[in-house]
Amino acid sequence: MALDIIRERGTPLDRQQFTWRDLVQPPSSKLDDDAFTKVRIVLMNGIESEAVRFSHACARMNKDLQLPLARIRRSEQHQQTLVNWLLPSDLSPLETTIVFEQVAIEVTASVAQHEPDPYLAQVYRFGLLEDFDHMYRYSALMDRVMGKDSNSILQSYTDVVPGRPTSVEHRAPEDDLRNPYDRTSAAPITKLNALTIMAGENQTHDYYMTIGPMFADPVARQLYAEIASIEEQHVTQYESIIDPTESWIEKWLMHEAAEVYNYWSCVQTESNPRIKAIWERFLDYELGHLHYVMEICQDVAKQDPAQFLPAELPEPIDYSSQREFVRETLRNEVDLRARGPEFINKSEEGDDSPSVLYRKQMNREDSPSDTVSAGYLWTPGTELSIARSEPPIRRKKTA
Amino acid sequence: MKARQSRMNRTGITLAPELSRKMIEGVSEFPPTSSGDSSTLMTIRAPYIQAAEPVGSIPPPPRGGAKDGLPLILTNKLGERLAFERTGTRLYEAFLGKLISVDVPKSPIEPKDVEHILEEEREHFLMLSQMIEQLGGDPTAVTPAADIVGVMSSGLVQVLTDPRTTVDECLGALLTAELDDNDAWVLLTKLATELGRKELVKEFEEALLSEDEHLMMVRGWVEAAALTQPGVSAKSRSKSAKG
Repeated sequence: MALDIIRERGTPLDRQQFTWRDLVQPPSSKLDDDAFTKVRIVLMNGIESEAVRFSHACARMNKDLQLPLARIRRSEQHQQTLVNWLLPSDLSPLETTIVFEQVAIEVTASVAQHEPDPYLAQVYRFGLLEDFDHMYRYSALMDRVMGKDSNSILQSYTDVVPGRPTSVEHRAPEDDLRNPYDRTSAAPITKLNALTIMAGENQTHDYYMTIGPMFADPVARQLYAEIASIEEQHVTQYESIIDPTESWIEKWLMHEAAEVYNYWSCVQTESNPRIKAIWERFLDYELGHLHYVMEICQDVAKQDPAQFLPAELPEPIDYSSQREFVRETLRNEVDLRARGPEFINKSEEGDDSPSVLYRKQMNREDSPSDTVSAGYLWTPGTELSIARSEPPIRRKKTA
Repeated sequence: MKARQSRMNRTGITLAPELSRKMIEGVSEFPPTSSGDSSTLMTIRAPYIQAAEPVGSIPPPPRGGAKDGLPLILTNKLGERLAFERTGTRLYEAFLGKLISVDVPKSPIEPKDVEHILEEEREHFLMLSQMIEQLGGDPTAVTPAADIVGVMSSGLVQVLTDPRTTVDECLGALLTAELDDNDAWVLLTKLATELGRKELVKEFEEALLSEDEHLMMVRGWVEAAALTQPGVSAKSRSKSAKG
């Protein structure tokens, strides 16, 4: 169903109200809800988190926009709370991590297939194979430290096998920057894709930085330290594809449009009727925000907001298993590396390239992601389900 | 707590056989990138274990407090029990709140029995608090054992305070708490006996008596909750056979 975001005005800002009880609704079910319900919750938390982050940055640089930004930000803050609090308390930090990586795999794969710019589609596929590998490493951690099967969260939608090994994802900063789209010629979907994936990756980074120290096991603490570093690289990559010459007001409009697009995508596929009603409510709230900012664009910036916005939203995000696309990408592109904004084969990386030198330094005492998954084969019900011919723990001195 | 109808558990692989078949098949196409097994994790863990600093230190008696050579292990364990009894009181408060908020038909659990346990947990906390003070310690200090038992019981608090868990589901958490509590009081009694502190032995034995009663009651509730479920009891089995 198409949505005309210029005509649909949604819920006016002054009618967007909450109570504390409204913010804290019954959570989704870890056991009974579809995996993609949790995927949507985690992504939309990231989208709202980006809305608040951008709003603060914008306020710090634009005195005349501070009040309208603060007004909308209050609503975004409470929307983020309501959405994030839909995660249930029995979903542990590591299980939530599995959902974060499922978001990064399935949503990025959908975006990569819908991206009309071939270079940016390549950027998404490049990042995808790295997050795909994180899923494998975290699954090994979950199995080997907690004795749990990550597939009870994934529900068989997403593979648990190695991608581009995390230990080779470490790059020098100059190899993380990409070329931006051109704001004047890029398709609307290109801008929405970039904001969506950047928001998701930024939230993933912040989440790992928050929960990493909550683990007791040094294996987990090291693995989160390593993967959080990659997520930081991913934020660097994805923010660099957004045209930096967009004005603050243009960026604000695009943020609101991306929120509308994302809630609208959730509405199309949500299987839990109670949560679908939340997506519908917040779609209306975001349309209200968009029209509020359109008026500011007209009245304060003296610009026609329609020039920045698509009349109709492009195809929604495809919330379904992208297994075949991911596997095909893995077969063809696992050996890609980056040199500046371009992608090269690993054979072209010189021994003295900045990324190789950086990687050597960081992995000098070994890579936690390699160690945690040493010989790891995902098995239904955990690797302990495999019949063994030797005792499970070898008593060897490791000093 | 609403009835759990028209819901479906989605965690197992049998629910989506085709998707699961593909997942298993993928494992053979994309093998591991590093060799070893779960014992390899010790290459990270061992150096940390060997270089680790303790969780914390046992607090010394405050200046001017009694210094009669109380062994550190007793200070540590008294702090642990105090912390556990204090959290235990809150666990039973949460349980009582849940019990009186829902209507559990034919429940063998009487709110007054829960209140009774709750009060005794609080009395044990107050008794320990007074005892630590009399022994020259600081009952507000967190000993390492108290901290560790706090980590252990954090899961119990999560289970008890989750609005979604039923009264029956909470009983397992209470049983875990009571089993640990019971053994801990036995150990305290043995420690005080070894130290020749008869006045402490008396207090610990009294506490153990009431803890025995708590354990017996909670065990009874756990059993009743499982054995009276439809299809389990002899009565319900004969009913369904006739029906």
